[in-house]
Amino acid sequence: MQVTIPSPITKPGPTTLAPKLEELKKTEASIQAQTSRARHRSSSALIGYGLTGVGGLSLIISVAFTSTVLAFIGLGLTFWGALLLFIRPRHYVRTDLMDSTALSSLRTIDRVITGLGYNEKGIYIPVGNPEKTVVFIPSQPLKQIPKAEQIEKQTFVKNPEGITIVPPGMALANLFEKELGVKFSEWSLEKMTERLPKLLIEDLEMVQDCTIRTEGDRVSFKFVESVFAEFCGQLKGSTKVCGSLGCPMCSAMACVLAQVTHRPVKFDEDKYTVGGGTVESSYLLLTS
Amino acid sequence: MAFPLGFWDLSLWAAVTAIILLATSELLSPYYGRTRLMINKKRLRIVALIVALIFLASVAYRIYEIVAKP
Repeated sequence: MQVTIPSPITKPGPTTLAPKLEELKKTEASIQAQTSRARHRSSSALIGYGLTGVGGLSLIISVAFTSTVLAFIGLGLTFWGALLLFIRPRHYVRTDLMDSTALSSLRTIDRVITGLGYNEKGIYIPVGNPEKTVVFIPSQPLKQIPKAEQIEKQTFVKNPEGITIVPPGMALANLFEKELGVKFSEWSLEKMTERLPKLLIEDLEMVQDCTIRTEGDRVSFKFVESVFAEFCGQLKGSTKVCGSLGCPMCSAMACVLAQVTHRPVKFDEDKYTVGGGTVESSYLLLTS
Repeated sequence: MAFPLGFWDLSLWAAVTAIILLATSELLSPYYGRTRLMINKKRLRIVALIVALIFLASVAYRIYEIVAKP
């Protein structure tokens, strides 16, 4: 007769417990997030659900009692309740919160660039890689604009001496493309002048008014009540980034211009009005 | 038990709602209103246009009825 001896109970060691603990922590975090979301459900959502519920009930009663008045009330309440749920805003962030998040990283960029001695104005160069545009900051005034192939894969460029970085407004320019559902490289300057203001004013609600003016190789943008106006003012006061690269908004416009014209773009100057929140920036289209 | 509203009742309701929504969406436009109301204005405009189109479709049907079945 064969007797099987039960194996001794093995105590779970730290190696077996660690993944379980990790999993439990994740579950706890997920439950906490769900509870918080339920607690902070916005009042507009509650009103929306309430109206839809009352409206639906009213419609059912109107069918049961064949009441026209109740049917109209039900139809109206259901419609407005559903509409309230449908037109709720996406998550909005206060502009000062946004400014505080981005300011320190741009100050760091400024400190690194000026510390390394790259003091000239940045030149936005369209490239073929997924980044689409890079900004080249030379240490000395340039005699000739470097070719895209010459600089796109290097950070510190020897000849001509300079630094190549991803522009601070690149992500914003990519967002413009995504919202418009187009590629800027396939657009002309006229088309950009025509369609970009609508995107900035109506769709993204970044500015109250936008004017784009083209005079030869000089393109100027004027933004009234831009959400970046205060940020631009703070940046201008504390760093040189505004002068060399431009604030994220000005940088995004330079990226768009470089992609549209397929030419290097030099950020020329920007003016910031304290009271009106108006930002004016101008760019020079260069020949490579 | 039947739904008490007819086609023309719904058409009238669509007309009134479309006017309210179109006027609201125009007043909230950044070009004119400059309001800081935090709603998805693009979606509001889409809904306003859809309701207006529903009303216009009902009008077109009415015209077709008058012309085709005198």
